[in-house]
Amino acid sequence: MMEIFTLLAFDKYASYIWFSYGITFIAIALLFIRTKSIHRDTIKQLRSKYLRDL
Amino acid sequence: MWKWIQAFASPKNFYQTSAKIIPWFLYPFIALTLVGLYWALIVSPPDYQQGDSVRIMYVHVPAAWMSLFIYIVMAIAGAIGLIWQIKLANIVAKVSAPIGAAFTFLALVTGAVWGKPMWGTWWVWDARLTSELILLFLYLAFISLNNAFDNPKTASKASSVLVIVGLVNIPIIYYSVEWWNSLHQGASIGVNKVSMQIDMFIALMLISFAFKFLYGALVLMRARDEILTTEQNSTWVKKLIMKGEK
Repeated sequence: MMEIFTLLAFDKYASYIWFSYGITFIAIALLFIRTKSIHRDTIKQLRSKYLRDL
Repeated sequence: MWKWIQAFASPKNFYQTSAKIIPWFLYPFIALTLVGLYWALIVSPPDYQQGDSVRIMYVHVPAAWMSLFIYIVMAIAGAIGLIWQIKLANIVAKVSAPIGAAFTFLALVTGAVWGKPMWGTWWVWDARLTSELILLFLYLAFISLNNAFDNPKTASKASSVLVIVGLVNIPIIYYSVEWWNSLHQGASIGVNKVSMQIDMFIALMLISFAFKFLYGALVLMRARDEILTTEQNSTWVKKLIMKGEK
């Protein structure tokens, strides 16, 4: 286990490497969250529109 | 074949079929990402010149490839929408733009972060970096243009023309390192050449394919919502929403 942590320390480049992977993870997570929220909003808006039209 | 495409491209069919296809993109994305990260961070060796900083390549290069790939998909979809008036093509172009912009942003940021320890600077007005920045502006212009019109047909036409004209930037990005003197390194992977260690190549391919599957899943998910909005006056959408189906 300690060997893996030593491997992942990446010497003097650690901050650059982890920042790159971190921002990629955040961007992908935001894309998913935004996609889900668009879906929820669309369903909500359409449902209230149809209920108004009844 | 053409009949099958037309049948699949009908909004109702696409909506129903895409729900079944989405998991086929999501699960490979998760699996490829996990294996890819293991290969990129643990299995692949440090570069003999760049040391461990080369690991930034495994997110930077796939993100840059995706920025080009998504733009080409948008241009093809835009052209299909203009020529054959297929609504689904316009929808694919529209929903792809924010995803493409996100990948372009990632390519630029991770490139800057890689550039600092290697070149000693975050940014240079180099042909490759500048043309990639122009690509980001093209994505943003496409999104703005699509939202600028009240009539969705006019919006699709205008943004399709923009994306097709902007296609000229793609070969400029790709060949910029050959055409001009550049700090940016040339391509290590070509049609008949791979000039990198095999584990580096495997890590790069795993994450590249993971991003492709991610794009597929996100486009399908977003296209379904766009279809619900554009087809909101159809009986099938009303029935679907009122039944509470997703």
